[in-house]
Amino acid sequence: MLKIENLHVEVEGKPILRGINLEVPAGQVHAIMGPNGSGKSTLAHVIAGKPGYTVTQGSVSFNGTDLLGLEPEARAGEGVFLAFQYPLEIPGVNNVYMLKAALNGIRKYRGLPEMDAVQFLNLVKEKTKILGLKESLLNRPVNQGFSGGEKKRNEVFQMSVLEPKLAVLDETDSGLDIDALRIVAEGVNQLRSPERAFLVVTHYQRLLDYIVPDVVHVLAQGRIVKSGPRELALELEERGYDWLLPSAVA
Amino acid sequence: MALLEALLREFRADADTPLAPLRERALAHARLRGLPTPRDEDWKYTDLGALTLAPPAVATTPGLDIGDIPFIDGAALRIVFVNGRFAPSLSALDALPAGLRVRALSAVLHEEPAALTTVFERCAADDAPVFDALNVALMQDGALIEVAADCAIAAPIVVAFIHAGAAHRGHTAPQLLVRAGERSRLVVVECHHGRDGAANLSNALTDIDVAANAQLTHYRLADEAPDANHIGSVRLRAGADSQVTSYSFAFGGKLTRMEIHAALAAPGATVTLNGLFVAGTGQHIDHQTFIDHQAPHTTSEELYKGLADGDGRGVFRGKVLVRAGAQKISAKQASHNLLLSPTAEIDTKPELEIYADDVACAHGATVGQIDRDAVFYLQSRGIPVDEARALLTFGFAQAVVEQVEFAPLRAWLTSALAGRADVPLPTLVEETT
Repeated sequence: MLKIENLHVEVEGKPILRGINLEVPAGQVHAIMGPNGSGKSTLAHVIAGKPGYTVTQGSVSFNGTDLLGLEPEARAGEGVFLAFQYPLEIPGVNNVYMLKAALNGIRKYRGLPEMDAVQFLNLVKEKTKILGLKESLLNRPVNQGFSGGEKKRNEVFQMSVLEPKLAVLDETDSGLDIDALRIVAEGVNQLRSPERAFLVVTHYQRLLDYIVPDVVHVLAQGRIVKSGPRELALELEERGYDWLLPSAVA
Repeated sequence: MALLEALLREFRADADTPLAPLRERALAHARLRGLPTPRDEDWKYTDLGALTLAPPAVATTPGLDIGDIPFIDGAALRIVFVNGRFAPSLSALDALPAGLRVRALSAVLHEEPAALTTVFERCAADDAPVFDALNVALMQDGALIEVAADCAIAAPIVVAFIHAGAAHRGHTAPQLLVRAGERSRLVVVECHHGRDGAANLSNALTDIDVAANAQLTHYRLADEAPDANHIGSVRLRAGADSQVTSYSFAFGGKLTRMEIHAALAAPGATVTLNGLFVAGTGQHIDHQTFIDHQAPHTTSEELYKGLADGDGRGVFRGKVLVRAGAQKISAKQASHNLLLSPTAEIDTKPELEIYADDVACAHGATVGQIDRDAVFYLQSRGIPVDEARALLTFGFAQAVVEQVEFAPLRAWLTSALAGRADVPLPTLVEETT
């Protein structure tokens, strides 16, 4: 589903990613772990199309489509979703309205008719129930006045309404207490399906107790230095990252 | 200055009314003072040098339909003026509720000139702003709205000044006077609307007097034709324990200049001044507000939002004066502005002048651009970039728009904001309320 080959990315002339190779098939959850500054968030941003990054080499393809040539909204249309580490507050724009604009933007991209207000509200109600989200949050401006946990839950809620094919979770666990973490993880787990893939970017293995990955990749100094089964995360928890850094390996 | 000469030539002495001497004095005052220039502090950013009285571009008066005029259709109480003249056929004054009196000034000038003396004297005084003096000297018509003590008028009264086609001189000087009696309640919607081709300079004066314990909401929309100019002056006095809210919305026109002066004249008065302006390419919109805390225990709040696009230019200057002895007052002011293009410009200048020591004053002013990260956030959800920018622009204005309780105006503002971006947003307000 997602295929990244020899991806090199620079920010303001400074190389951040130095040759990433990664393949995530449908139905799988892949975790990206690594120390601070290793390029984890950059990878998530580049997949979603955030401006400010320069791809100097390599490719990112999604079900055969070259993602790098697409605007962020077209990537969403193709089925990519990024759950932000720091979801933005959008004053004056109501949460439900934003989601309706998003869903219809995606439907339009796919050549589907727009959803009317009644259909949409029914869908939203159903998803709110599943996630245990307070309905009062729906009609508030996007993320404004939300607690850290509410913002992350709102990201998962948006994801569940938009039903992406690939969900990239950028440090979704940061700033969450254990209860919020569990709720957010349950939301993600409910969306797991054979047609959907997840890329879970995290600094700590704690999240992976709840969202159990099929593969764990370690990103360090802009490269994937090790990949392995779920147990790799536990080993990292115990031993840290130092033993995997290129200098230590060499 | 050619403009002043042209304006002065429009003066028609009406020797048969007792107000004639005051009007001549106002004219003399304007002639002596001359028009303001950017050397005047209040006019630093707005240059009238290029302004002329262009003849109307369209030779005939088009048939005006009620549906053509914002918020008029469906307004049970309305008084309409077309090209400066009272238009009885477009007005609805037959079913005024008890306690509400609405008259055309062209009639009041002869019937009850004493009702106009205070305003005329103020505007003819040596310290009066020149455009106030010109308005009083050249005024042809307008509305006097009086609500009796203890009367609460539920339905808003709409006062519309329409410029259309051109059986008119290229210049109008409308006046709106509102007198709210003690403990009364009233909502006034003042709309200045110009149709394409109605080249004009409208110099409008609004004078609002709110007595003790009364509540008044005043909405004012300046939406002149694209090549037209609007100079507006709002003077309001808030009496003891009164609550007054005055909104200024400025969208259309080539040059729009607003001066809003609010006097909190007695203890307990609360005044809120809110505004929203959108200056597109070729537009210049200047707001000058002045909040005068004359009495102790008074409260003022002010929120202005400005948008500028293309080479549009916006100006906001907000002065708050707390006079000596005006203790225990609270004054909050915020001016937030958004530039939608690299060539747009907005200048904002808060000014606080405080001569009392037991006061709570706060002000904030910002000029910024659309947050690139927020645009990306919306794009990443599948919202096309233009729509994302429009949503953020709309959201920025929403803090003012959502306070508008008069639904037809709120809907008008929403579609005006959406129309600029050519994005279907009009359902937004319904869904958020």
